[in-house]
Amino acid sequence: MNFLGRTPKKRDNLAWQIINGEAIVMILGASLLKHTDMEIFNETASRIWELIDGKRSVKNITAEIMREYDISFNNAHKEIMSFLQQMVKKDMIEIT
Amino acid sequence: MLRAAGCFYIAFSGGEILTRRDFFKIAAYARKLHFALRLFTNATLVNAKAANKIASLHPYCVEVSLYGFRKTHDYVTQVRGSFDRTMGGIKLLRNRGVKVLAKSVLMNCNADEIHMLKLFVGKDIGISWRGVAHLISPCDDGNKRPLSLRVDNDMFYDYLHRKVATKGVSSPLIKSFNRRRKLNEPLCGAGFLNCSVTPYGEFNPCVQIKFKNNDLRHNEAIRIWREHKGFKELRRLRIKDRVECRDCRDMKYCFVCPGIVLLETGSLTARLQESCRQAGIFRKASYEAIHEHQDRDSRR
Repeated sequence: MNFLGRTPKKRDNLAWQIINGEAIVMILGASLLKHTDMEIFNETASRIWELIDGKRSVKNITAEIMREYDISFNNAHKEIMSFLQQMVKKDMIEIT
Repeated sequence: MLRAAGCFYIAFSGGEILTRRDFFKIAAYARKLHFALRLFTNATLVNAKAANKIASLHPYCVEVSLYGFRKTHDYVTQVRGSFDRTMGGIKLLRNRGVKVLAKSVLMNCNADEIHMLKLFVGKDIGISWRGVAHLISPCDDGNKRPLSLRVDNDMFYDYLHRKVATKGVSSPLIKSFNRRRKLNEPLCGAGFLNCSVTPYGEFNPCVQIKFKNNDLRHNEAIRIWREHKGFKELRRLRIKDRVECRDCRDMKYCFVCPGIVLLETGSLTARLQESCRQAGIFRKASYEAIHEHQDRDSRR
């Protein structure tokens, strides 16, 4: 399936901040009581996370990552798709 | 400013947060900036509409104080019917999937019902128990009237004994005593991990430690945090600076809130008589709990 034209959007039940270049994300909900429900992303994943704004398509995010990190389309796309799949699995984003 | 400074959580507290007409506007803005919200409320103003709005904020949690069962709670709040209204609010929030935590303060008027209250909250209401504060503080203006509600020695011992009796040496309370505090540790998280902003925009290390020349309307939070003399001095203070306490044998049983010490004594590092009294009782209760369990084990 071609994801390039689709747009990822963060879920509403998240708290997150970028601290020293790393995204710290917490899923908020009644069943969650521990601070271990936090995710901390590496630098590239944090940048992808920042770029997910419900407006940019996967294609746009890929182009931005290619430009910022000076990497090929294939490498950027692979990295982004892997990250998005993990986020969907954890119900932290939806892709429309 | 707080976001730029790396802040993750914001707790909204009062007074009562829901008496502010613009509360939901402020809270929604904080969520727009992706903060995790903790909301402290008595829940008496939570109707279906307010509960829906709170649920839509996806708060990290809503913390509600319960001072006892109906009669005691209404006595403490001085508002007849407040217990029922608080319970009503809690249930509306709980039913919408909001994480609600109940908490309490140990007082001479509720010491005999706190344990039952905790069970009631978990089993009958289906929400979690945040904990019990043992150290009652004076009013913000230094008025010491609330201190008359502090428990006496017997009440405190009975409370602790019942608390540790349920879990014995594996009780979190006993375990917490096994961590001896190091002399070079900071006094607490105020000015290190936490800060507080008053409704007038004053930026402080916590709700009880208050400085001057800290107006966020004229200064950036990060600048006050890093450069304000009061913050710097607070961060320099260590456990060893509590000179009357640093060699005390009850140190590991002692809970001291520097903010309360400041309100009661005028100094952040003074000895707080109430903490000494409580620490002595903590020590006695924990020794006895440990010996009771050893006796029980040896009889098996």
